[in-house]
Amino acid sequence: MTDRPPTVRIHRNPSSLKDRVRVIDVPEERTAVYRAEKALAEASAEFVKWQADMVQILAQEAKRIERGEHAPMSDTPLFRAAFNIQGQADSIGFGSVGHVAKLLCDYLDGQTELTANGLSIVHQCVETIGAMNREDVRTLEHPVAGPLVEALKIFIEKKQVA
Amino acid sequence: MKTLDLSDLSFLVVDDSVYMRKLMRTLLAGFGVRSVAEADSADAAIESIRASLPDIVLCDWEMPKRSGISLLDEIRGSRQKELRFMPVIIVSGYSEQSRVQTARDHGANHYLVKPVSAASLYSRIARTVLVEADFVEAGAFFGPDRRFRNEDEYDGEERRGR
Repeated sequence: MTDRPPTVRIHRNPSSLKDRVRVIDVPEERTAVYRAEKALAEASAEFVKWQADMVQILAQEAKRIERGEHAPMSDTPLFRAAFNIQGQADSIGFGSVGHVAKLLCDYLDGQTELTANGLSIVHQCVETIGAMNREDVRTLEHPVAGPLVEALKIFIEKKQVA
Repeated sequence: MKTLDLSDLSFLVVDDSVYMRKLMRTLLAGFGVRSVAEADSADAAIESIRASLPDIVLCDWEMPKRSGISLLDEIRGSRQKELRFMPVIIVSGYSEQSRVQTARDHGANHYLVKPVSAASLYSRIARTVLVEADFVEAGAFFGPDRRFRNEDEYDGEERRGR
């Protein structure tokens, strides 16, 4: 006996959104994307301040982890803070910070507890993120950022092998 | 240049990170959207959705307590037509294909990977508004028909004979 495939019903989409938007012809500086990018740039100072707060939270959570208050790493506020920074940093023009936050998330994801080597990876990533944020290092094209991230990757690899 | 006037549409941004909500709000304001509500959890989102029926929901996947996918399930499983067909764009820090597939299997209209840029967000919103796909009900699945084609998107050379 074979399983019957489920009955498929098609429902007409009742959406009326298309009728409520207008396609308009505007100069480039009036397009939606252009205006949104401009709005983001104008709010940049505020976002940078918030990022500094996030970096502070990240550092605090790293300290808690060092004190041994750990859970599966993907559930910790430390992971959450790093994950949030990863998701937001590039949008506000800090691709470098987002890149390092991703390295940290990739490392933490799947770890159940941190060894001494794991703690030093966390410490190094948090320090790097903090420094980049403090020194306004926004992209990996920055003369210091690129080599710093490469060195960090090697450090993580070595600590994971050790 | 062509752009969409989205000023008549209302949005709900669901994210546990206040920074991410502010970021989204800034981008939406740049797009000309006037009505943006925020929710910091899936439960708060459901309350807001029932109260104000936003036109489009932008929902983070990874939230403490209840995920964005759980919220999506509640929306698609609703008996209320206005909720069931409500456009939902899932936003996530994860870019794996399996994640995209899962979001679609739960009925998401689109999937947006963080970091969010003005262009990436705008393109998902534009597609949500302009391509009104019918909905498919098959077994436990209820969501937008994935077989829709948007022939206008291709602007390259026509190589097949007509």
